[in-house]
Amino acid sequence: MSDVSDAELVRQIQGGDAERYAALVQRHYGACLRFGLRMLGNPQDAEEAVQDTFVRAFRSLHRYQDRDRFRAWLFRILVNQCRSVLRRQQRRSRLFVPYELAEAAEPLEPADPCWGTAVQRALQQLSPPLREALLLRCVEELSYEEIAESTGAGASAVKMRAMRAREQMRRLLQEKQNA
Amino acid sequence: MRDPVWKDIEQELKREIPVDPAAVQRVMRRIRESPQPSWPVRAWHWFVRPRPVRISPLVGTLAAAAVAALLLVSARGPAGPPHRPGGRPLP
Repeated sequence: MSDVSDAELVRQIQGGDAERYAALVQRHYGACLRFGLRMLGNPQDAEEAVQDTFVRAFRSLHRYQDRDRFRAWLFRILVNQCRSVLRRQQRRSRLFVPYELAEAAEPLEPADPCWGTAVQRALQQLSPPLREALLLRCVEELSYEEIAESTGAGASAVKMRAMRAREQMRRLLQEKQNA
Repeated sequence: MRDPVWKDIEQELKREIPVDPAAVQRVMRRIRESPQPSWPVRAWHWFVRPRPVRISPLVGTLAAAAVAALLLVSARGPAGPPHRPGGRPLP
């Protein structure tokens, strides 16, 4: 199962074998959930965004053409889904509680919970475009061109955002790390 | 040399998130319950979806030559009445 490429799975699904989609979901769910959680800050919203992303991706799969870049295509949908959730969060004026992440989702507890909480807190201080660029580039390792397609920004703007985000994170966490 | 602060941040950000084993099943259940597009819609998408085509240089050259020959023949138009060597049409 694992040696079947995304492209081959997509081809099989487009050929009518919808059940093969489970393999794609299995393969990419973890990375999508990590991105959702880092972007949105709470597990419930992240889970909802990721579930909706996979359902939307399936419904759009008949339009999907670029079979070799399924992951980037999936993240494009996820980015839009996370943006919708962020807008909804803002409308509700629900404030993010940084430590909620470590408390609500027990499996997330890092080796050093304080460090994990501090990293998530710093991440939430970045603006959403910076956060997106940082996570897609440094965590999910998408190319600048793929991120540009996912976010609708130019490749050079994405590069700049990722660099600025990285610098801000570093500055925010340097003291904590030294302590 | 890599920045040690950034290395720790990156390590934390890249930490894998455990996935609920039922999550995949939830996605698949939602997909099974959602209505499928009708067959004409699916057929249309099948027809309009571009596909990569691989051809050898030989076949490519032959195809190009065939297209050029067709264009040449169609540009000359239908054959007119035969001409004398002097240029006047034969009666």
